[in-house]
Amino acid sequence: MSDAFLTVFDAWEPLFKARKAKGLDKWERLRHLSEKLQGKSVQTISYTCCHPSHGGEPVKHILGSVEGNLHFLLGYGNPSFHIADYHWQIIDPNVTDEEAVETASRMRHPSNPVLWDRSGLSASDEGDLEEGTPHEFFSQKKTKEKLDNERKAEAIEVPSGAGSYTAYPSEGIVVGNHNAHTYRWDLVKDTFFSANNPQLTQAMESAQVKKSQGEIVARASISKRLLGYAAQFQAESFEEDVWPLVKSRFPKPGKVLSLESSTGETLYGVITPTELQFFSKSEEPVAVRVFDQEYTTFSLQKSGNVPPVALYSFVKKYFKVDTELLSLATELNKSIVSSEWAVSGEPSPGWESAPAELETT
Amino acid sequence: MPSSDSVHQYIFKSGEYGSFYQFWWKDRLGNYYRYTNADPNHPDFDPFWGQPLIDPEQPLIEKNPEFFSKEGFLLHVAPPTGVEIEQNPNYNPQDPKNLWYGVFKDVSGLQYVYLDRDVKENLDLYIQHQIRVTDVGLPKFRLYATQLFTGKHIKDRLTGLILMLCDQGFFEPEELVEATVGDISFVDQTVVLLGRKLLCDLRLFDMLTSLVAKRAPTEPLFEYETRHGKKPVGVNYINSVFYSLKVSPKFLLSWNASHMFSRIVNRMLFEQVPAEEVETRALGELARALSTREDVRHLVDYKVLVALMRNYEQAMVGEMQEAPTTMKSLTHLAADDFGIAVIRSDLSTLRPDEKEFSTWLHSTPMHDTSPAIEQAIDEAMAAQEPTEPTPGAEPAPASPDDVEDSAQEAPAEEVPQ
Repeated sequence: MSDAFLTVFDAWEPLFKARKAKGLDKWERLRHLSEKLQGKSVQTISYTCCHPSHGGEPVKHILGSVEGNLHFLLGYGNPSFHIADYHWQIIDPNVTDEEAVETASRMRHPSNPVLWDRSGLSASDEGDLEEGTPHEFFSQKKTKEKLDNERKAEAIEVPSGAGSYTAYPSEGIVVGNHNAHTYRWDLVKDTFFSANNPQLTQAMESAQVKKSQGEIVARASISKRLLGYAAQFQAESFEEDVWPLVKSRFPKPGKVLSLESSTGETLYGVITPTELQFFSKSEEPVAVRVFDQEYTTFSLQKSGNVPPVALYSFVKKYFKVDTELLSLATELNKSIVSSEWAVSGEPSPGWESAPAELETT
Repeated sequence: MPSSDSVHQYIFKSGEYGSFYQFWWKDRLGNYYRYTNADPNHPDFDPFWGQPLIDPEQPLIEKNPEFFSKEGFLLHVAPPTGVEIEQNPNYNPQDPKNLWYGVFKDVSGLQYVYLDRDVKENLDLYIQHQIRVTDVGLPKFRLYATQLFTGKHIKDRLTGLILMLCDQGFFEPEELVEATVGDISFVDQTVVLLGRKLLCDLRLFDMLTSLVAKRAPTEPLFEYETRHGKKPVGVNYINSVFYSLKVSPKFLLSWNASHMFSRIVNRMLFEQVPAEEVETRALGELARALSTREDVRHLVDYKVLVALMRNYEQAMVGEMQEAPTTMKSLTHLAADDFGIAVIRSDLSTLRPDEKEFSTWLHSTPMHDTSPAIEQAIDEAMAAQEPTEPTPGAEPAPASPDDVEDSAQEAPAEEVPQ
């Protein structure tokens, strides 16, 4: 390391002296840092300072210098200086990469915007514009300025009646310039004011349409043709050999189910007394893949083409069947069916010859 | 008294009642008249409404001379019989502070009179006037809603229910007619409709539960049996009901928001909320009550907001000076719950707090003014008329079917409730 290097990073001098005995060439951390600074210009590590010792003049400092480090850490640095993790390592080369990341996340930006504002200096972007970030206050201020400029750009001012008004289409409001009264556009549209300012009305309406388009949640509607097709089965009921689970969970024949495929497509299922027929949004019959089989219709009968396990899985998914309750009901049914029951009592007149007790299982 | 000018020219249409427009034509004196349609050569002309005809149910000079000034200008309100209007010598339609045409004093205090054309052509006056028109129409609106709700026909009951939901539940007609059975759910006694929680009385609760029983979630919530099968309630029908009652749904929402904001601020006064925080906190509470993430500041009438904030600061200062020990002893106050709207099927008039708000609203001038200017005008009136107002002076009979133009003024109050 040359003496010229030390004249710039004079804060490093004590470190250099301490490490000189071991040999600066063997200092891995410094080599690592110099690799990081490859391709970086002096501007990336220099900042404008507002320290009172400068008498209100903007003075440039370089991080790594004694004064530069001190004033920067005291908060006199430009808040629009874009600070990156490696800047902490320039302030002190002993800081490791991990420590630099930790320090950056904890300390954020050392600049004090209050001190900067008091100095009256103007803040312009400095530091590492690619890797670094400015002070949060500055970025907020910049965002606000940007929004204010956008607001001014879209503002439409019109004279009307006893005053003049400014409309902001993206916000959907009209503000009185003479009294600062603010009105929502839905109160103002279709009035004398809107009728007399057609350009303003057009701008406000188109902004409202844009806004509503961004918010629309489309609700899928079933086509009338498909509903008409399904209606022919409305008077019928399920065939006898249709699975009991289908009978208990499915709506009646003639209804149209709105189904969602695993890829997010909406399909429709028309329920007939024996089948569930699948249709696409364009009302075309559509094939549904279950495991390795494709079906355009699901047979709902015990003797049908769909394995019971696939049908069970389908019903469970689309009709939110609680399998625990289902198994409980099955158990109860089994116990009721398997239990013996008996009817006993006195025979009715004329039935004296009948056995006193009838037993069955 | 000048006779009416039959040469009318179409100017604009106003849409206070959604798709039910009012078409306004102007005579050579500048007075506006409501027609059934626009000029056939104008883009606003709607073939559905047929040829433009003048609406006979509005103040006309031959029929309602009390609504007209000596020069033949249509006034926004008819002064009580026998009461003379003191004309504003500085009247200037281009000056926001001197927009008022005249003033008269009645038992309730100083009442400003504006020209109808100024009310229509000035945005600030128009908005203020619409809020007052809504306020005047509200008792009739509520009475009609309760009558419909207790009717025999399902369509009447549904209409009554929708009117109540718009009024007391702060819904808009458009969102209600689009609601489906899936948009309503019940959690114990609480109803969640379109993501907003409501508390209703038993009759309303029964009605709402009957609407969802044994129905698919995708079916329209409000539908009724017709000769052509089940049909949903349409937005045009609901708008026509609002139109006939002269209550605008959007200004009704504004009225409710302003009143609720007023109540929240008044409650915060008891809670000793610092004056610099009250506006933000009250608006936040209002947004929660209306279940919206939108900026509710613009829902609250500007005059209400300014008056409340001004009076809040004065009241806080006054209370701190007068009775600091009393206020300090109030460690806990049961606060009103504005979080959930409470809907009653038997609400047929204004509540006491709403009456107070209504009174304040009608005593507040519609134009921009200040307490100092008002006081100066009051003093000038007192100097000119040392005698008391005409005994037994009663408001002039307004056109029975035109609530908008029969808005009566009411006594003054300092803080709206």
